[in-house]
Amino acid sequence: MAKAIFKVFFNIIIMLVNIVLTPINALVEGLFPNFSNLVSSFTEFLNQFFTPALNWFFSILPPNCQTLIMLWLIFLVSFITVTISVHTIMKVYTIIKNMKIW
Amino acid sequence: MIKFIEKIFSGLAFQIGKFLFFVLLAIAICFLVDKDKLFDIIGLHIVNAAEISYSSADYQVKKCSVLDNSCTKTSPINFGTSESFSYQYLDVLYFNTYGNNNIIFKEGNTYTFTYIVAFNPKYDFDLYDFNKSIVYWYGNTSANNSPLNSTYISNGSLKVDNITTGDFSNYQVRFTFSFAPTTDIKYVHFIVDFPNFQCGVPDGNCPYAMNSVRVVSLNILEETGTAAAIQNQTNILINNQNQNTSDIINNQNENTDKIVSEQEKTNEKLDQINGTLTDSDTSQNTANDFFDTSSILTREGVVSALLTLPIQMASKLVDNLGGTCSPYQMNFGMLGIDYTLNFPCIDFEDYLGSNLWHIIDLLFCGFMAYNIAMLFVSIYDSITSLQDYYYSYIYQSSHEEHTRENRRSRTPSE
Repeated sequence: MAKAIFKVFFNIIIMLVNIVLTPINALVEGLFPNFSNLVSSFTEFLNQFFTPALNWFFSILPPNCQTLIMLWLIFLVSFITVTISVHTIMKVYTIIKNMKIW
Repeated sequence: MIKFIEKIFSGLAFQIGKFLFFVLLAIAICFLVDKDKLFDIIGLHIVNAAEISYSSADYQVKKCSVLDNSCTKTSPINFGTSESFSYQYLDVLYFNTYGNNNIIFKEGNTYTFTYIVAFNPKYDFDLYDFNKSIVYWYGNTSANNSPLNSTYISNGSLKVDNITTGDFSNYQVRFTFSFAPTTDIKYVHFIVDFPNFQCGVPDGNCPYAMNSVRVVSLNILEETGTAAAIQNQTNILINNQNQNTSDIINNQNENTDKIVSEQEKTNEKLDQINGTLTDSDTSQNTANDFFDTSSILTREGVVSALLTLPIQMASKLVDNLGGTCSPYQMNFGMLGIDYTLNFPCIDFEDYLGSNLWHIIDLLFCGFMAYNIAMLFVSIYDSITSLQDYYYSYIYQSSHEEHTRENRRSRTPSE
């Protein structure tokens, strides 16, 4: 049950960020295709390298503690993600607004 | 940008460092403190099996087969040695513990039998298969009496979990059986019946073909006093709750399978309709892609991939939450030489004992609950004051730093 709630929570945040960043993503991908490939390989590397290590670390912890740490991480990561996303969007919007092309 | 990353990591490193320090402190305390004294302090008086002179001769385990349901013709399995099975199924395991003139399972005390049993070959077992095994336990006031004449012990509880320490070529299961006898007992008879193993040839319903089984160890804890009685009742409640949860999960899985099969049928029908509507000449037309907004909204772009990276990692962690531990290998190269660091699975509960492990769990939970509360306070402060303190803590733009330095340089004191 807790897993399902966490997953839904994550999916909502990821979806919201994706929707809001759709034009910026398209712009960056169009202007810097090599950068896009670099970022993709970077995120894949991080996922492959850190996820098994974190899984191992969590598996040796007490069961209740696992759930609470996960809860703490979820709120922390979600909050930081939303905060940084908002600031990033605002900055990119300011840059686009100040361009002379308009 | 570099300063921004540095601050993120310094903030996270501080939190992780605090947590690791707490873990190390707790483990150090556990090893330094005498376990028996600790249990005396918290009101548990525990006598280890070795202290009450149990020997391996007191433990006998019998293997049974469908052809020999009574298990009277088979000889006991030798303690600690591997036993082969003539048939490709594991029907009934008997764990018999005999008392003698000196050993009595006393009325009012709580006894916990912990059997570690290794199964070979190693399968990716589902613990649910073990949990739905049929378990009986009997006791008799006469030593070495027939199990058929024994009385059913109604106030016992069973916990089944897998362990990954030790011999990795086997799958090891721990059966923890505890009970409080209502009369003095000299003979305990513990039967585990595995309904999922009763097949000659492995198939979908019975996927495991066992070759051998080995009783690795058996420990008996004798607990006296009120705390032990409360613990026993708690175990019974937890066991019942786990059983109910397993039933609910099983029902949910069945419902999900039904939904999935119905969805597959719907998809097939949609494919058929789509096939009739799609013209081969217009299949190359990209106009359809232009109106397909669903892929645009769900597709992950560069910026969003970077921003949602921590969430994706956390999501994968959630998937594995509560799963079985698997050893981790870290491969890296240095000066042209490849190194591999192995991180084996450590079952601290096995080393420290379940009581001590639960105390550590409780301490960690308190610590984490405090952290979560503080996090909520900081989020609440940020939202209500419309000032993002957390963001300001981890990020300070170079422009702001520059401005601040300029102000300092203009002050008359400097």
